[in-house]
Amino acid sequence: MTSVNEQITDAVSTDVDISNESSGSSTATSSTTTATTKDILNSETAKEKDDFYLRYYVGHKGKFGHEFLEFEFRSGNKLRYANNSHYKNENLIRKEVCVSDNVIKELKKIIIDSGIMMEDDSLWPEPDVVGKQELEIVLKDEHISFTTTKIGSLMDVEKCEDSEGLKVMFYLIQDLKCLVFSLIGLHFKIKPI
Amino acid sequence: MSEEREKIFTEDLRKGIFPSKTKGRGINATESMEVEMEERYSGKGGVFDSLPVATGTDGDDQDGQPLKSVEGYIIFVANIQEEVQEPDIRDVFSEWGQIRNVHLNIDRRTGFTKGYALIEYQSKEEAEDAVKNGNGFELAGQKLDVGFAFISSSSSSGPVISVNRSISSASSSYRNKNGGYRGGDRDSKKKYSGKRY
Repeated sequence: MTSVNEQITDAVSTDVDISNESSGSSTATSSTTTATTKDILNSETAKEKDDFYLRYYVGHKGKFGHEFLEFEFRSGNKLRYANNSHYKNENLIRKEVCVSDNVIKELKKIIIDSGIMMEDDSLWPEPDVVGKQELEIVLKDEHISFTTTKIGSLMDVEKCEDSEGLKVMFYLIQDLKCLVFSLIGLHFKIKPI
Repeated sequence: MSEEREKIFTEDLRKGIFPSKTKGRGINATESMEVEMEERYSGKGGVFDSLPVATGTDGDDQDGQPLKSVEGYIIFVANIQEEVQEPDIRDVFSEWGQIRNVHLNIDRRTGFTKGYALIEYQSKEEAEDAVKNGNGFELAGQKLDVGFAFISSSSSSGPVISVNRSISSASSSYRNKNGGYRGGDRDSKKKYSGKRY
């Protein structure tokens, strides 16, 4: 319990850094943050680079069957995207493309900056009838595999005992989706959701 | 069983070396992902579409070459200062060609620019020009990091590998030997059934 709290405090302090940055008051904090991220990325061994993995799933089972959206970045810089719905006989969408190292580097930066690797899902709401989210990341020597329910809004986040941790997840997911939708949307010219 | 399963998966993922730190409910979940995985990737959905690699005139069908997207070439710009806006990006990058599309995504927490952008050009020459000249270009005090967003890869143009959580097709025989992490039949069928286009 204490350790979780400590982690949360860590995450919070990172948040403070970010908000300082955004107010433009201190460029110093911003450079420290990037330096750390850079350090982490630079210290990656070739094998660790190759083992990088990220998977996100969100879905539920309802009137239109099992509807879900899932994407993953896997070894070889492969990005896979799946969007499944039977709503109005809509077809499932499955796309695969190989992204460049630049994209992977930015993706890792987003992950590290978010602080998600320091979080834990033990206090987050369990998946329920509303739906389920799964986030799995292998980065360097760490492997996280988090599950929780769908998060509708920040209001839902605040209700959680570990609201700061869940907030990290909440924002990271949006940033990841944003990146993936841009990549898939531009490459295949489809509009996800 | 759950332990064995997890071990196989983890070994598969890390090629023999366990991550020193693992965390989260999903790590020990027996049912959550495994059972539904079958459904998620069943049917023709097991096949992932990708665009054909331009095999062509300039012989760029090698790995690591820029990959053509549906309507052009996409470049990826990183290390963008957080207060930079889309018009600034357009200003800089229209120098090297006509921009078809810009995605400058924002940080959902701060509302500022996230730090990267995707730019679409119609021709490969324009995109190459932008990568060559844009990389290292200083915008708002930060040097831009520019490269192509998509590259060709021979591994993705091979036979379609059914989507389970294995890293490559080479490891599937290993997995089956270890008690069929995922149905072996489905694996082999799927691999050759889908015609990629």
